[in-house]
Amino acid sequence: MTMLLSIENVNKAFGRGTIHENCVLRDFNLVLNTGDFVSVIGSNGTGKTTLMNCIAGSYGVDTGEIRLGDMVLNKQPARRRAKYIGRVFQNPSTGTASDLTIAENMAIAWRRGMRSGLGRSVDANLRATFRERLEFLGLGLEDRLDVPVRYLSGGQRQALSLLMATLRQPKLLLLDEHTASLDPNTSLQVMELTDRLVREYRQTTLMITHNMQNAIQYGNRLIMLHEGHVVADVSGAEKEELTVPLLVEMFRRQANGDLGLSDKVVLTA
Amino acid sequence: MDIIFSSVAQGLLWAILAIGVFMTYRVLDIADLSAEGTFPLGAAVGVSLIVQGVPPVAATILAMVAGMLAGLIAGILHTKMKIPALLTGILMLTGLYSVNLRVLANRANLSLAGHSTLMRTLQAAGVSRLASTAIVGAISIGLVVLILTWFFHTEVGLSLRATGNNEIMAEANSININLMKVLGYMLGNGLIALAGALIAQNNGYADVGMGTGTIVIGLASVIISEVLFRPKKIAWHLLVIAIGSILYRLVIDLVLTLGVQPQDLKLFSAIVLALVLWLPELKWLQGKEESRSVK
Ligand SMILES: Nc1ncnc2c1ncn2[C@@H]1O[C@H](COP(=O)(O)OP(=O)(O)OP(=O)(O)O)[C@@H](O)[C@H]1O
Ligand SMILES: [Mg+2]
Repeated sequence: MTMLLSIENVNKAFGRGTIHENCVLRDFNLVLNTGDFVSVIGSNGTGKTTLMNCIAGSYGVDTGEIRLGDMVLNKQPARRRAKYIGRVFQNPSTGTASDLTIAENMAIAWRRGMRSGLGRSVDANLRATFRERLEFLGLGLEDRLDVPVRYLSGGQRQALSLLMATLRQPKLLLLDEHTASLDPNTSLQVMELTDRLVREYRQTTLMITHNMQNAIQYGNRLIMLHEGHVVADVSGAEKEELTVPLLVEMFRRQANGDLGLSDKVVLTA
Repeated sequence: MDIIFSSVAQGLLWAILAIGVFMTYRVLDIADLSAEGTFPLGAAVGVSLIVQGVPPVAATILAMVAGMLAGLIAGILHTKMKIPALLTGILMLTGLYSVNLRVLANRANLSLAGHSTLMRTLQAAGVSRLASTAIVGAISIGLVVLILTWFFHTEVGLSLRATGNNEIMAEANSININLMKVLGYMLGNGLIALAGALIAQNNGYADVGMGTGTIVIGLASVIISEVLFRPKKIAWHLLVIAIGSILYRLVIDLVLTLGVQPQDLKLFSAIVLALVLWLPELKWLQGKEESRSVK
């Protein structure tokens, strides 16, 4: 196993030096290996989205180092990191441009990390490629290449975002509660799709979710964040044994601030 | 009849201004007031170059380049210096007022009497005054629509549209959003200055005060076209803006013939724009599909 993402002693605070100072990530450490599919859980406001924003470069970090492979990401702006990192956001309208057509949105994802020139953005070859990829979704979008994305439902948009984020097989895929705003059925569909895509590309993935069932069911590793730290890190056989009640119990105790040392040892052993 | 033809001919020239405004207001989703300074800039540069003996075609192109340079500065103010769009526009139009006076050699206006213009070149070939306006307008707007339609479908053009539509998505797809915004500012202001140069040639003079109200004219044309035609494809959108611009001219010329005094015209055009902005809110005008909300 090779290390893909390494986050070392990262600190990130908002409003530093003011009375509203809010230390969100505190001496944060996390290592992801190539091929890992990691679910991230944690209560509201613990810094899960902040973590993703720091990895993707939307936020800079105060101290510490974020590396992808042997590259240090800290100094690279978000748009450079986008070459290696694909993202799906919680809000379905964030990941796609609503006035552009499906084909145009995909063309933009297709050219991620490449220099743009005055060539045609969508040609017949690309359309064929896009159609083929859209068939993979099984939502019939392959016949609607020229439809502006604003006419798609939230679930369809999220599926498209997911396809766009993985179109050029990024080194790392970041999913931020990407099924949270979908109805249970669509949410299930998009989760299944995520799993298929991740398997097909052996895509290293970090997935934030509030759905305990999903966190257990998908991926090979589960981490729980609390107050700027990873407080639980479960993988392998141990993860197989996790149940929803067990996770909920962990969550509850943590919210009360009494996750004892013994629990941590048990869960991270 | 002549009045209608005149409105159509002039509307074609003003359509270029409207497309310039569309570039920032719709494509980039930035309300840029620089137009009020770059429109007279284009007029001043074009007219003073012609007066100095530069051929009208070259003078017109250079006027557009001057507008693009102004757009470059506006773009840098907004992106690199992070000045809000509204303030950027105010800074630009204030600063450009002095620049325009300088270009006009410290005069409030500069006449083209006795000099060649694009329109007069045609008139020399036997075309009527009105027809010359229409021909120059039609050729210019035709070229602008063709070139922009092509551009919007290139890789860069698509990146520009994505930036205006959804910045977060654009950035997540490694688009340099600041560069795209600067480019949009340059294209928009280039077109607005081009319109200024053409309209000054048609009027026969450049005036330092001719920028007042341009943003209202541009916006009214864009919004009339959207309310009436609900364009979806970008090429169609550009074309209907030309129609919107002609309709706006017709309304203005109509009220002038109905006896509205020229000095009341700006007030009237502001009222027309207010009404046009209100239109999409009227329920009975909304069709089956969602109306495009006016930002
Ligand atoms: N741009 C910002 N400026 C100031 N504070 C911020 C900013 N972004 C996040 N925060 C703060 O950081 C903390 C963590 O927020 P974050 O969005 O990372 O939480 P989260 O774990 O994703 O929560 P949720 O499960 O509700 O999405 C919150 O207290 C939030 O108010
Ligand atoms: Mg969040």
